[in-house]
Amino acid sequence: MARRNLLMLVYFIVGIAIATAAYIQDVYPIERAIGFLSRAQSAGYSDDMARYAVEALLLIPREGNPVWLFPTIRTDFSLIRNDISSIIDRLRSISNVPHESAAYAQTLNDLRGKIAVLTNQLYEAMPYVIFKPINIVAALAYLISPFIVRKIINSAKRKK
Amino acid sequence: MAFLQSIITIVFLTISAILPLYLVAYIHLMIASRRYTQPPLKTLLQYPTVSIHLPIFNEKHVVARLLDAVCNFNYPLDRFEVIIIDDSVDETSVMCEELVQKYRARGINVVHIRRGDRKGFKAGALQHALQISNGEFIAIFDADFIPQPDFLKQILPYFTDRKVGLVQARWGHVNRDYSPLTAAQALSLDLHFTIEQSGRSTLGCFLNFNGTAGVWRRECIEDAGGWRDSLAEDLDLSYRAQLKGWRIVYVDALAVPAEIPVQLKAVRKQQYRWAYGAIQTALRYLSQIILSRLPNSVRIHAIIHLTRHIPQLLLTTQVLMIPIVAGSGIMTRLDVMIAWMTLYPILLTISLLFAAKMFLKNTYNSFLKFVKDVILLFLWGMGMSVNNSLAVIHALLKKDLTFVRTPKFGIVGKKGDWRRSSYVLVGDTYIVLDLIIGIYSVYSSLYCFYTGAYSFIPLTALYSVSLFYTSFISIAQSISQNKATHSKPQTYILVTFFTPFFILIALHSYSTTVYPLEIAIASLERASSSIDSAYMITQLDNAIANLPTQGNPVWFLPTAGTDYQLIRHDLLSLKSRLAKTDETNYVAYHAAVEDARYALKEVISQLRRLQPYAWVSSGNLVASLILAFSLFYRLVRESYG
Repeated sequence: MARRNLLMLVYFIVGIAIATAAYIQDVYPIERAIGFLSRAQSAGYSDDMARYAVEALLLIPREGNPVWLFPTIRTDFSLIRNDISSIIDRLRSISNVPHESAAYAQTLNDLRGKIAVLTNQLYEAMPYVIFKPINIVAALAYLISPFIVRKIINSAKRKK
Repeated sequence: MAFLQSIITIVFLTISAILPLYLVAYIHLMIASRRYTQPPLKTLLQYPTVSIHLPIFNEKHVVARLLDAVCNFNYPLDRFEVIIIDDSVDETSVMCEELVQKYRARGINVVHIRRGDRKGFKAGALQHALQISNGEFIAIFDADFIPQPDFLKQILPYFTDRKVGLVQARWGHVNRDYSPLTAAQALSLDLHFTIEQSGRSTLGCFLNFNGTAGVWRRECIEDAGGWRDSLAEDLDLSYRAQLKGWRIVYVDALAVPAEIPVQLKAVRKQQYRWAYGAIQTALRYLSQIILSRLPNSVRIHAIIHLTRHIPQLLLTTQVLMIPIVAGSGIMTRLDVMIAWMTLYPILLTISLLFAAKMFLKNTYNSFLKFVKDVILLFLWGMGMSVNNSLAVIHALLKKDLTFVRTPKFGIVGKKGDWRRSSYVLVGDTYIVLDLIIGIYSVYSSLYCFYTGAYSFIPLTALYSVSLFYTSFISIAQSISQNKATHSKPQTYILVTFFTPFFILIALHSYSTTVYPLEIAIASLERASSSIDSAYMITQLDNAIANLPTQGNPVWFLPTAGTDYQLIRHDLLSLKSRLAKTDETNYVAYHAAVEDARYALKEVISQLRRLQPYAWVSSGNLVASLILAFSLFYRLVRESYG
């Protein structure tokens, strides 16, 4: 019985390790991107905002829509990237505008609002990034595996 | 709202809506039980014949005590017989045989039956006894019960009404004070009898036979179809009989002392069997009850009664869903509603438990003792959730289950040793499951804490504490079954010393790390609401002064969003822009201030996100877990028995 408990514990630890690895690989880059976008929203100058937005862009997948059930263009990665790229272009174009001018402040304010919308879109995509079909199948396989192993062992015992 | 979030919300809220139905039913029973009066008692004019059925399986520690009690009944010897249906495979059979010879010599009609197999388990044994016995009434006792000599004389008068098929007595407890585990179970049973059975009796609802300490009318059993193969043969027969129009009478004043299981594995098995049996009975008779012409209140209470273990499955499901719900963003939209729906079943249950004190005046003289037992009951009850959830799923899948009897060790009061008995159950796979879900609940609590979904924490924290409580007792009981187990004074000293010490550390940590952040946030909010740029700059300076110069308090998977150095950099940039703004140029000035306000709002949300991490750093978390473990160690030692 102690051996059985140990096996269950190992099974559990392996499960946690796999889930953590999957999270770090799939979701954490998006979380980091959201972190940089949050920084961009609170930055004082356009140069800082652009720098943070570039960092975020590097972490977002180039294409695809993680929402596999009834997807919409809201969570399309290539469209999100396009919006961020245009924000970066805009920020670069106003870097020479006097910083104390109304135009500079209004542009930054407008872009902060746009970044906030993009952040929400990424938040919406996040659960689907981890719960993608392949991961769901893998999780089910992981959950079912002890029962299959048990069936195999039992049938082998019966044959003996 | 996205499809996944909608599904999660619907399931979560549906569970939250179902759970209170059981609480409302309980409140109804509680109110009704206040009106409970003892059924009118008539004098026993003649002595009807009674068969006393004693189903036995390996009960060497208690069988002599039981036989001694029933053979000393103050009842005419020619009017009762004792039938022992003995399925034992150990020395119990030899003991029984010797005891039977002894009592036969005294003129008591005792029969010792050996079936040779355990077909149908307890139900099979009782059916076998029914077929060979002649009594007009059938009294049933489990091996650990000790009925009083005048039991039959006190209970039989209730059968003067021809429609009464069963009279059920209350269970007393001979080892309530043996350990916190037995105290919790005793309180749970007391509440079942004093509130549920009394309440149902007052409302004229369906009651249940508790498997022992009751007397059946033979005609009723036969009319209902006899003992049917079931893991809850008592509940099964009770419902069949009542659906046929028979009445069950509950007598609260008549208590039959019994032994409460001391080993947690035995408790688990017993609870599993009861939960499985209740659902098995529900699956058999629920449609019949719903379609019957019984009054609505009777039908509703019968449904609640038979499905009373389902809330534990729902609660477990809810706890497992919490990190998904907290992380899905639903909280931001339905915060107050979800918070309330998660919290109030706990608050209401605790309130009801405390209100129950008024029903247990005779049992509890001390309110403190009652509070202690309520806490233990809560821990033990929630700790059984995973166990009982599995039993419910098991029964719903209609998979077979072997009857595992609850071993009894003859323990009375605070004395008695069970560890060296051959009846001790070894190994417990469910410990691992309890631990896994307990750890998951700790993760859920931390997740909720760090994401600000505080309203879920009471549920997840209570759940994890309860599961650790039960699993640690199981581990302690299986590791050192032969060791003496009394709490050492060192444990008390350790806990007494460490608890205030850790509280002081937590307060100090709050005042040095979280409070400055709170001051910084307040300054930023002041700056956001100000119209004067000079004042805004002063407040920004104040905020910057209260922020650490570098580091990221988020110790698990950090992002740039919570980096102190970057936050300070942004605030300094905003400050320099505000300083350069010309207040006389209204358009430029207000555009700059509005932009700064937006940026400050984001900084405030960043600081709010990092606040829980700043307080409970990895070091603080480890220290808190050590404290929790030491408290647990103390509690587990006490409950070990």
